[in-house]
Amino acid sequence: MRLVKARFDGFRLLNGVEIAFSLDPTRNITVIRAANESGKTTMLTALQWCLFGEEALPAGYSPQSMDLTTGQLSETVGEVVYEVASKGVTRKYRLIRSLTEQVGSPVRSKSSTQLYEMLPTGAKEIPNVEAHLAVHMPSDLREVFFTDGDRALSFIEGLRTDQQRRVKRAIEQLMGLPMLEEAVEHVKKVERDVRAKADAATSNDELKRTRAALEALETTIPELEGRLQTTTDEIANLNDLYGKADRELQEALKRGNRDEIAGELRRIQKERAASEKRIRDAEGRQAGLLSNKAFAREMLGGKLRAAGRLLDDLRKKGAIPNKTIPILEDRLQHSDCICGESLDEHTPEGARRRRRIGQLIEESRDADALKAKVSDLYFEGRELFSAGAATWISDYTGAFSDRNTEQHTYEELGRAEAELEAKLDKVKDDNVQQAREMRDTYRERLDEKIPLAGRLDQQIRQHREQRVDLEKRFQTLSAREEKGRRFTCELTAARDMRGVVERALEIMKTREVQAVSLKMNEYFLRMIGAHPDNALIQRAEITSEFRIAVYGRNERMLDPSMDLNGASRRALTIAFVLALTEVSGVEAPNVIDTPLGMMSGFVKTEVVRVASDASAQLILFLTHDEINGCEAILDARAGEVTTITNPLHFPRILKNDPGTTAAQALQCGCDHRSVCSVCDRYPSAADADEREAA
Amino acid sequence: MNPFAGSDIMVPEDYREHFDAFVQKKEGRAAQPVHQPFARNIDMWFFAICLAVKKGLTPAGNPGKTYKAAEGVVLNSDPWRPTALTLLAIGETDDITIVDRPGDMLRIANGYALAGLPELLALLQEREGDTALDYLSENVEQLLRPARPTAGAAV
Repeated sequence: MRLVKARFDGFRLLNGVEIAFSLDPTRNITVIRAANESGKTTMLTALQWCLFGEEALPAGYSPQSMDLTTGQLSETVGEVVYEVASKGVTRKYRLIRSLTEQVGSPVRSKSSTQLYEMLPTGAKEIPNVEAHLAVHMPSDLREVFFTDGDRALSFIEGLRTDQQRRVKRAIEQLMGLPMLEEAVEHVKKVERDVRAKADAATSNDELKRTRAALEALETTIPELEGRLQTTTDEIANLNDLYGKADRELQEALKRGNRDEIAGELRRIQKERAASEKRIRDAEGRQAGLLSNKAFAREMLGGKLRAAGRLLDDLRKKGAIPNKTIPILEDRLQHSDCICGESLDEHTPEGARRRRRIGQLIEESRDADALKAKVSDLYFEGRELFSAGAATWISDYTGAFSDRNTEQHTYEELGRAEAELEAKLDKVKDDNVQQAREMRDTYRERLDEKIPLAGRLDQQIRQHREQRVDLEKRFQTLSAREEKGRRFTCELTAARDMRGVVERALEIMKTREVQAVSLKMNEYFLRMIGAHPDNALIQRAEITSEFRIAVYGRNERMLDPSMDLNGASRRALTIAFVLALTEVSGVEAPNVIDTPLGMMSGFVKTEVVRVASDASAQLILFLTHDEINGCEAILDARAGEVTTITNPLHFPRILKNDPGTTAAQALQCGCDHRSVCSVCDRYPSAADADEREAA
Repeated sequence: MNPFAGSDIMVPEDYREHFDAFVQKKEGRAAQPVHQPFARNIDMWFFAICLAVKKGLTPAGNPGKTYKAAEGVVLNSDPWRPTALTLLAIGETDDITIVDRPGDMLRIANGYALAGLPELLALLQEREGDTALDYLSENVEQLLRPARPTAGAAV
């Protein structure tokens, strides 16, 4: 199917807007250029409404014109001309969908459709329009062929199970797999019917019991499979949540545990108090230097040395030390003198000498309490007046340095304390605790679900084995019955047929998914310009679990929603949509609204080129910014370009007065490079201000 | 032996508030050595003596109205101090017999203290933002640092 042209009247902003679509296979792109709020998304919605009816409208969406007020009659008409090629013959159709309703009415009206085949002889109305439309453009395919850059991201963003479900659904719908699934169900039903007939024919009790058991298994197994699927989904989600909670816990741990920080803060505060005490002690030691002996010795130096010289003189004269009396007294205890003479009191000379010594002792006693004092002074004061190294300056330097060092330590600790206090303020009371509890909760739930999945899987296997046994038994029992033989044959045929269809379904699922996967990879790598030798992104694939996965160097798996930039994410989802539509073999237009957001340069141009290559017909709704930078590829590939303008953008955005204040988009024939008085715009608010000032 | 144990150390009444300001051990005040660099009155008095001697000041007399800043017995706690004061008296008088006249010795010491106290207080007042401890320490360091040879001196 290819779109030829479309016209919309009374559909929100669109009134009298008519678009011609390119049918040139070498220039297969149609560009609808429009700024934000000018009707691009409205036109995408209008196209879908026209082709698929009310089910294509978002919930609560009304196509009524913006200018109508409550009670007025709203008339909306969409007309699409399209062609369908089949068996070498191309037929052209004209579809008209119309809707009339009162503005503000709580009851929503249903649109009516008319379909005409355009024959050389004139238009021929076709009855049963919806049935025809379903063949030309199945509604199941709508969301794949009609999309926008943001919505396409849902294939790789959000919960993993939701991503997988969306990818799986898109693939299955486009490949027609639901039909095969229906066929499987149908053959199963036939099998059950034949089995029941065989049972009725034989009236064999055992056969009946076997049939009942088989039927019970036919009910139980899908139930268990459904529960297993649900549990597997829950496990996948819980794994995601567990991973997220674990990352949050790690982040919280990086920020720090409040108790640990508080403990560290107490330790620092204690250290700081000790440091402060050491500073006080150091100050005390330095102050002590102003009162100590070394200080006095060096400050009083001249006077002390003068006194010292006097005392030294006395010592040299023998007055110091004053030790005569003890020596003399000591001598009197002996019989001879130091000089060797006899002190024997029994000899006249000895007695005379002893008297003389006694006399000397008495004279010395009288002489000197003063000498004693001076003698003591000499010995006690020698440290003060003797020549010696000056130590006070080095003592002071040392003490001052110690104080400074300790002061530095004190200030460092103060800074550490302030940092910890700030850190403590930032850490919520229960950050780490909450994150840990959350993670543990998910772990507990996983611990419940994983064994449950194992049990369900086990049960399903057992039931399947039972079914195989029962089927064999049923076959044996049926075969015994003469009347049952015919049914046995039918049953065998039905079972074989089911096997064939089931295998076909399985093969299709696997093979088609692989084909889509390979195509998507090819398109994606082309779009982002990845070179196999050195690119950071090496390949993309659709996994057997229907997940879009991306691999970097060394086969490292990347999470598309986190590890890819915005342009690559969009390129990946567009590559997926293009691959899907191409592999499906369905020929239909790819209609994409704002596909080039966040892209620039190479990627933007290549996305357009690849999309053009991969599409039978490519219809792009683009803003001016999206067009900027890919004009050359549009020159080469765009067969039709039209520009839509919102007149209400005057005077802030539009340069020229459009002559109307109606909420109706204006259309002009300007292409992606040209402007006219209708669509000419200011590049920025500053330019508008400048013009207004002028 | 402390010959001054029976004497009192008297200083002019005018200095009482300064002693209160720069001595640590006063009732109800925590010791802050940086601001109160002297542990006791006797330390501040002794510092003033040292300062006066080092600066070569003439001992002052006639203190006018005085008060008892310390008792001589306090000198017992640092036995080298009575010795230093005795040596100072001998060095000042060249008379060894002065050791028998504690009153004279104390008068000489106090004369230096009275000469040194105005110097000390002047230092403490001119310290601006510096702490008393640091400013005094720096000044002492300058006093004790050996003089550098001046230009033209024999090398």
